Order: sequence, then C-alpha cells, then structure tokens
Amino acid sequence: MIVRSTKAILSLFALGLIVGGCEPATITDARDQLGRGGERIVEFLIPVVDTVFKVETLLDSSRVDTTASGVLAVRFTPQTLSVGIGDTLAFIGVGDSIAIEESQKIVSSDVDFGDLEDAVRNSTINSANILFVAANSAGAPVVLSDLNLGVVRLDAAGNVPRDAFGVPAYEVDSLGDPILVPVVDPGQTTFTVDSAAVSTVTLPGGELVDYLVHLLLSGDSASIVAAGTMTVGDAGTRRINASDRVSVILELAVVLDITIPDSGVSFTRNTVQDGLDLDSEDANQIVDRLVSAILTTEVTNRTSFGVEVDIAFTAGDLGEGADIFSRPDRVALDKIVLRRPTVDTAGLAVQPSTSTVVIELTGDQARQLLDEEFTAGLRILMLPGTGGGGRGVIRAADEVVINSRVRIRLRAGTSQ
Amino acid sequence: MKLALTVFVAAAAMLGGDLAAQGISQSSPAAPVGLGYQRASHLRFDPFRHVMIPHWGFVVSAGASAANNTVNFGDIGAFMFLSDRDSLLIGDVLDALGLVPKGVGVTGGGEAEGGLYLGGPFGRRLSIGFSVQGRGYGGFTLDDDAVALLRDGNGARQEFTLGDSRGEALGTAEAGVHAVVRLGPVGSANGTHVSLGFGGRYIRPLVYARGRSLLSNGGTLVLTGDTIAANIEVESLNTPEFEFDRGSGIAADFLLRIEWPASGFALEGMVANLGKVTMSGLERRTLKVDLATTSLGEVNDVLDTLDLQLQETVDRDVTLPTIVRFSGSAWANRILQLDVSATLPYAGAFEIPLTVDLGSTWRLLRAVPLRLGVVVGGHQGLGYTAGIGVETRNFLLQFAAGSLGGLLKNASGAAGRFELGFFF
Repeated sequence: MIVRSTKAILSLFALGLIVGGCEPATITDARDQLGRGGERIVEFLIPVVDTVFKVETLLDSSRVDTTASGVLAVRFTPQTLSVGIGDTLAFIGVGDSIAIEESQKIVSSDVDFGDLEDAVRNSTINSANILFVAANSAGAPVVLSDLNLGVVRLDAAGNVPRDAFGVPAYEVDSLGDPILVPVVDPGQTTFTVDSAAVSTVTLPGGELVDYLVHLLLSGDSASIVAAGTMTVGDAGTRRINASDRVSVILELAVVLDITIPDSGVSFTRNTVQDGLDLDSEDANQIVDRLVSAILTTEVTNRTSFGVEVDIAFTAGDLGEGADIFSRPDRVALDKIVLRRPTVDTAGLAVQPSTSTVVIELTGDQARQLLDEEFTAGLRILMLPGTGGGGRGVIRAADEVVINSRVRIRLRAGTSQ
Repeated sequence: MKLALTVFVAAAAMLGGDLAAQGISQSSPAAPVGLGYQRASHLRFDPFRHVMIPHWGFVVSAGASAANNTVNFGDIGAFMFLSDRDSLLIGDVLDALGLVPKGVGVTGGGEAEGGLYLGGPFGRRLSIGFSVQGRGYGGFTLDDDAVALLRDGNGARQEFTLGDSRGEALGTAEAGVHAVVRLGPVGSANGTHVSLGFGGRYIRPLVYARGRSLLSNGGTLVLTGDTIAANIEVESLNTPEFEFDRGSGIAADFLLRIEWPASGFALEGMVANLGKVTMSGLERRTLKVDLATTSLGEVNDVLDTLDLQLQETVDRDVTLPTIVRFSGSAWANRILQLDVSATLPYAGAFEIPLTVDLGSTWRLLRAVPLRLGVVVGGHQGLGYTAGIGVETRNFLLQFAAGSLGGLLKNASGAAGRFELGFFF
C-alpha cells in the first residue's frame, strides 16, 4: 500500500510540473507576458550637449594671430623677395638710383582659412596688414623710393603679364586704377634701410589682400610684385661687397573683418557623429515605441553674424563629400535659425542674442541616429548682423554657447 | 562519553513512563492523530519538526522556499524563451520594469535546508534528537528609488538614490541537538499538556555574499536636462571560495507548546535561530562613482571603466535571521485539523517579512493526511500550499508544495518539502 501510495504521489507531482509549464509558445506571447504590468509612458529628459563653441576653432591655430583690438587675423606663409646690391653696382655708380622689380608667386596653400573659407570666398575683406621687413647686408644705406606692392594674375605660362609699356598688369579697382600699396616709412615718402640693418614697417593692405585672396580661392595663380627705385649709398665712404643684398620678407595677414551680402553667404558641411550604437533589432523596437522625441536647443550667439542651418542626416559614415540633401533616405529637419545680432558700424556685436530651437523627431527620423554612426549634412547660411551694413568681425572671444537636451517619451508595457 | 550516556539514561528512567499513558479522551478530535503528527507540518524553518515525534527513528528531509514581489514564473519563462532565441531586447526589459510595484521596489528572499535527523524519546517526558544538515538563507531589496529611474523615467522626478538596496546570502553546514520536555497532563488525565523545547546548533559557514551601499542615504543620482551627476559607492563582501574551515557559530532554538487535547486546541510559540556566525577571509570590494557632467559621452566613458576593486580581506560576524512564530491548531472534528501560524517580520540581514500560514489537514484516511492551505504576506502576497503524506507509527512520508503569490505560472514564489522517515 505504501508503494502504491508513493507511486501515486510522484505521479501527481509530475503532472503538476507539466500543467505548470511556464514558457510561452511564441515571441509575441513572451512579450505580452512581460508587458502585463500595463501600458505606460516612460519619459526621459537627457542632456545632449552643453558646450561653448569658440569660432576660432574653425581656423588653423598655427596661422592665427589676434590684433590689438581682439580681432582674429589669418597669416599667409611669409614670402621672400631679394635684390642683389653688389653685382648691380658693378654697372652703376654709388648714389645712383636703379629700378627694381621683384615678384613672388603666391599659391593657395600659402593661406588657410579653415572652415571659414567659404565665408571668406563670398565676402569682402575690409582689413589686412602687410608686414614689410627689409634686411640690408651692405655697408651702405639703401633708400627705396616709389616702391609699391601690387598683385598680378599670372598668365597661362606662369609669367607676370605686362602692358604695352612693360609695366606689370596689376589688378585694378572698380575705377580701373591699379591697386597698389606704397612701401614708406611712417610719415615719409620713402623707405630707408640703414647699412647692415633691418627695417620694418606695417602697411595697410586691405584692398590688395582682398583681391589676392579671391584670386587664390577661385583657383587662379597670382604673384605679389614689388617695383620701384633703389638708391644705395650716401655721402659717406661705404664698403659694398659683391654678395651684398637687400632681402625682403613679406608677411601678409588677413584681419577677419569682412562684409558679407545681406542675403548672406552659404556653404555646406558634412559631419559624422556617433550614434547610440544599438543593434538593429533593439533600434527598431525603440522606434516602434517612440511616442515623441523633442530636441530643445538654446543657443547664445556671441558673434557678429546670424546663422540659418538646414540639416539632413542619414545613417552611416558617408564621408565629407557626399550630398546628403539629395539622398532619398535622408531625414531633413526644420531650419534652425540663430537670430542676427545687432552690430555697430565697426561690425562688433552690441550684445549677445539668444535663440531657442525646438525640433521634434519622428520615429523614422530618430531611427537614423540609433546606429553606430550617422552623417549629417549642414547647409549653412551666414547672415550679417543688423545695423552694420553687412560688416562683421570675428574676434578671439567670439563663441556660440549651446545647451541642448532631448525629451524622449517611450511606450512600455502592453495595454490590458 | 560513557559517563554522559549513563547520566542520560538515568534521567530518562527518572522521567520515564509509558507515552501511551499520556492518554487523551477518545472523544477528542485529536485522538486518532499520532502524538508527533498533531503538530502541523510546516514548509518553513522548524528545528523541532522531528524531535516532537515520540518514537525512535531517523528522517531524511529537504525543503526550500523562495519568493519575490515582482516577477512570476511566467515572466521567468518569457525571459528564458526570448533569451534562448536571442530576442531579448531593450524594450522587453523596459516592459518588465513595469512589473515592479511602485513605492515598494523589488524584494525577495528564500531559504533551503536538507539533512538527516536521528532521535527519539527517553521515557515518557523527554525526547532528544540529533541532526546534521546544510542550510541556506538569502534575501535582497532593490529600493524603489533606484528602480524608478528606468521604470518611470526622469520626466517628473530628477533625483534618485540607491536607498536601502542590498542583498545577502549565507550557506552553512550545521550539527544540532534538540530536546523536548513534556509536562502534564495538568489537573486531570485529559488536562493541559505543556511541551518545552530547547536546542542548539553548531554552525560552519561555507559560502557568504553581501552587497550594499556604503553611503548612508544610498548616494544620489541626478539626471536633468542640464546635468548628469552621481555620487554612489557600493561594497561587496564574499567568500572567495568554498571552504569548510572559515569560521563557526552557534544558534539556539526554543519552543513552548500548550495543548488542550480534550478540547482539541493547541497553542505554540517558537523562537529559533538565535545566534551568529563568525567568518574570516572575506574579500571586500568597493566601487565608487563620483560624476558631474553634461555629456552622455562622458557617462559612457565612466561606465566602461567601472570595476569592483579588491580592498582588503576581513572577518565578519553575521547575525542569523531570528524566527519568531506563533501557531495555533484546532481539531474541528476527527477528520479536519485547522492550523494558523504567524512568522513575525525580521528586519536585519536576510529580512523576513510578516507571513501568515492558514492550513487545513484532512484525514479521510487517518494515516494519509491531505493538506491544503493559503499563505498571506511574505514577499509575494497570497499563496497556496498543498501536501500529502503517509504518517504511521513506523513510517513517515511527506510531500508538500507551495505556489506563492499566485497559482502555477502566475506564482512569484514556490516552496517544497520532502520528508522520509522510519521509526522503530
């Protein structure tokens, strides 16, 4: 009887285990089981970025100076011109004047505007400095008179084009006058370099450098030409060797004081960013549950320009050159507008402007951000501030403060 | 040793008598039930379980129970099903978090034991029993303040904390001796019977683990639209490997039972597991997060470097969970016995919540009790128990099981017990 009872008891237990089987039949049943707590909305408010973007980071810092007024200036690679004195004097007498002309080809790699290149290409440069450094190795002073700096567009052979009189075909202004920068000591009409000495002068060269920069950015070949008269020696007894020379170093610096058209300057950029790196199934499930994703960005604009940005993005790393806006799988967002600041006539912003931008992403839009990477294309329209006639300066202190957060609402659980 | 045995036998002889002389009225509903089986079988810890049986014999037994307040077996089955098919996704975890009751958090615990008993009576009034067994305890709490961030998000609330989150588990090997002294009947032959139980267990800890927050308020975690900040420090303590000679402890157990057999009532109070265990060579590790940032990227970088760092090896005393239980039994008639017992809450390590067991024993056949009951409280809420056994003068067989927090697939806990004994 005991054996029969034991057998019956064990059988009951086994039956209980089978009846109590806990695994669902399908994945849907399993998910319904886990969602039995009822449908709910889970809301996350997450900071995305809180950063200060310094405009000067758009430039190559090794080529950037700051002027006394705090405005950024982009340096050209120094250019060297050299005039021989000793061998020339073999044919003329001391105290006589000789005509000199030297040119130095400037290539596009001699200047780098970084990410501001497009903005500079479409604007007018209002200010530039030319540092003229002359070193005289001779034992006699040298006086440079009627020495002018000009810019020429080289011909197809790479030579300096000339007019009928053999004068270099300088770039001209709107009135047809050659754009020339006279090389003179302050308050003088000549430039003097003492014997065995170095003389330096800073020359204002805004218009000349503006033409030079635009030639280079448009792909043309250009040279700076220095032409004038040199007089060697004075009343004293001087020693001049055959190897003596006057060497000139030109350091051009573009002050980022630019005037852009009221319609603005547009350029495009691509940027590759890290996504949330979810695998495909996780990402699709999150998108299915997305109720809303609202990106709120507060931007404080401490520059002299306003900006309007169109953004389109797509999953993956498509590189810098891809046209995201033409892709059929792109996700385009509403335009982001940073209000134009009020600037004075010198192009300086009177006070910062603050803009709040709110973008709501749909599930399909958010899906692009959930892979390992995504590429965002930016169409940027840079606009002048109001009140400055289109003029604006870029200072070392210029910055854009960005505080961005996203509010994500996800559906969880199963409706009961 | 010889002297001790001689003293024991002499004392038994002094107290001696025929257990059969401890007779009860034949009209009492409790009359058909063997003396040792009048005390209702329990799924929970009961050190006097077998020593109350007034016959010499041995019993092999094992039992376990575990429950939590959040997931049931259906949920566990769903997790396993999805995991086996590589289909367990973030959204499924988010769904499951909705099962955590608001304001309560996740709590759970369990116990298990298995071993051998040998003992019997010395005369009419004294029973002594010896036992060796293994036992385990465990409990955990995940504070609602810690769960709320992922369950509810931070839309309405931005500050969270680990709160009282902790977990602890202990496995031991034990050898014990327990005795029951039977007094009475008081007044008349059918008068009140009083049983006094006492005993002790020598304990060897085998495995131990504990995790908790080191900061008194559980630390802080702040997540707003502008800030991600965390100040959290946690500690883990564990035995590095299974080792028998790591420490020792003593536990004491006490019982007082009063029976009115003529009326068919019994009341009982038990205080058990009083004691502590000392362990040496525990590895202590800590992890600290002190972060304030506005960047999710920086948070990811910090999370990638998190690791529990071994700090030192320590000794520790662990207080065993004290069990205080009050029980009552009534024999409604010759077939039905009703029992109620309340295990009081214990708030230390291995937290025990208040649990009330309501049971019925049906002896349609005197030797084959059928047991049905409900459990109220604990980690799981309402549960159901059932059992069947064979209880004779020479043989004991018990199967019992509990579906806690619901039935079968909907249960968030389970209990089971098996006993096989032979008496001479």
